[in-house]
Amino acid sequence: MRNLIISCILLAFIVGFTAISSYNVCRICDEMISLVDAGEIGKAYEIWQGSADYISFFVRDAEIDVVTAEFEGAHKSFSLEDGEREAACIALRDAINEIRHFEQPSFRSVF
Amino acid sequence: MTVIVIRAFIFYILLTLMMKLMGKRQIGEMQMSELVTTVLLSELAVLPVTDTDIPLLHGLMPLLMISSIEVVVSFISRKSKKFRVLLNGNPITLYENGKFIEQNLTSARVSSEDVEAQVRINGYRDMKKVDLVILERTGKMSVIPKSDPMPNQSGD
Repeated sequence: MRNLIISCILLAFIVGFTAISSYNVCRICDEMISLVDAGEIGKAYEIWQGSADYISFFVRDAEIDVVTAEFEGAHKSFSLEDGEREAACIALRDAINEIRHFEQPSFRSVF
Repeated sequence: MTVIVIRAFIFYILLTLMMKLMGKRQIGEMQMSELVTTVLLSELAVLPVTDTDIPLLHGLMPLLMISSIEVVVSFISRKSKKFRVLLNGNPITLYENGKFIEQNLTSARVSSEDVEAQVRINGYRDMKKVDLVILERTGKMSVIPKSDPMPNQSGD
């Protein structure tokens, strides 16, 4: 009976922890995407710097590295022409979206 | 390398605790669901230990979840006979009244030679001395003799 109680507590903890962490990661990603859409790459990068370590608990390092690289690319593109800047922002948005899709439970992410 | 060693240590501690939580049983005595859980746990533990690109939580969470589910499932199967039968099946009679039951042999995917081998392992020279052979839920075969309650030991 003691093992059953421990298991039920563990299950409740896992479900709760997973739901909260997925919600947090999605919220951070949504915030960054809206800032990128508004052209405020600097603010989005600040958020990324503050939460990259937290997100790395749940997401593979490779995906973290991709977003960091895309941020650098988008930052450099501000000295470039409009078309290239837009392409860099789209790539950054896609990289952030990739993390969001991984964390948000959906038919696509599950299967 | 240090990270791998630390991760391996964490998983060793955790797996030991989880195995303790699930109870002590040898592989031959495991129910089907317990065997599935054990195989899954070992596979889950290997990946995050060796691949440092994978977050530790990707290994820890499924590990905790599967072993917790196993404890809950075994509790329910202990309380409900229907659930127990659904999960682990019923014992199957393979040999009775001097005849192999072909239908049961087919459903259990066991040959008559396998049964005869198990009978010999149990100490009986031939099937004439055997009344019943039952394939138990654990995968082991129970051999019940006709009249002699003790199996003939080798040499007599």
